[in-house]
Amino acid sequence: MDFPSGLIISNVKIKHNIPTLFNRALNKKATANDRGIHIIEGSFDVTISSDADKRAIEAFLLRLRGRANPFFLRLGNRFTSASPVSGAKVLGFHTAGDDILRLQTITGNITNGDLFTINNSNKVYMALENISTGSDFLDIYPPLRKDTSSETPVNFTDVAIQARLTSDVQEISYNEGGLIHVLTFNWEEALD
Amino acid sequence: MQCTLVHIKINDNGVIFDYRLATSPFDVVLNGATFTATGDLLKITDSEETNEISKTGITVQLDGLNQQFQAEIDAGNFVRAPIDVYIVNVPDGTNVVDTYEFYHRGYCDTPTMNVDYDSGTVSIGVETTNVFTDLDRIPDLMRSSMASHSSRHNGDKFYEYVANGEGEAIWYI
Repeated sequence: MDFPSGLIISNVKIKHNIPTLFNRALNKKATANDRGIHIIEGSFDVTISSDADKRAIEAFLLRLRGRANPFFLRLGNRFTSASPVSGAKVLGFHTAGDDILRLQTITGNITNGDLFTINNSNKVYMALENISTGSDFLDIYPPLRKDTSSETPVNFTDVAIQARLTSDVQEISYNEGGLIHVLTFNWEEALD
Repeated sequence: MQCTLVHIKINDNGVIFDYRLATSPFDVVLNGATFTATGDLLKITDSEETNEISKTGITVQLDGLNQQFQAEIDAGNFVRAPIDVYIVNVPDGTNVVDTYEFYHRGYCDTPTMNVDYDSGTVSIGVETTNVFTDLDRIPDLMRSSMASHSSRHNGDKFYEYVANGEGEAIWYI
């Protein structure tokens, strides 16, 4: 389900959680190993004044049922490509674990840091280099989580994060004598 | 990328089924076998290695909300199931393991279901004993007793004056 639209969202924070295996010796030398895991976490505040929205947001919370059900979060701006990109599709079969995505039929330019999703998964990936119109190889992170067949569409526009609340308890603050309701949503990416 | 792989070989009335689970974010291939990156591996406890041959095992916690595991427990299929736990390394850009080591090899014991309503977690704890567990058993026919010896060598009273001890045969399903 989608996060209710039309609400004022403020104080947005995004975290990139990339767990590693890391040891530091007594002589301060360190060894590190990647685990291939990337999960986006974050929080934002919602400030509501209309009566209908106050009811709608609490009904949404009950549909989520704490951490049980994920929801789609569209934050726009940073989560849309820097310049319009359309028609991107995967070229050739890619196995899970591939960190280079071959793309075909791109219209537009992909910018280093653009976020995108692939149609076979809800994971939000990131492009790690600039590439332009046509067909090219793209460095990505995290590596592909699933085998991906050729022609699978890749979406750079209005990327939606599949998110899950991090707590079963949600608090609503009744401010200004109850005229304004404020909620803080703490969420993390729901990995599939 | 480093991750841990768990392989449990279930025997369901003669039908062998392999559970291959990985802690990696994507499926990983080891020696031609695919380990799936489901969200079923919750925890793997420490492995203890000593110079003395012992039955020390580990505990693997599996997702108790996965009803497939519950069905295996009800059927008694976890008991004595062989289990291998690997620590593996997967190079960037692929899902095929290039180097691996055994973290633990052994057999599963009866699993326990843990339901914690405070933290909201449901897990299945599978305790294991390592492969040397069979060395702990006393062979039933090789006891140094008058009865065992006479049954094989009728009339020989070699063990007549040996104190009889109780043998320890461990019965498994």
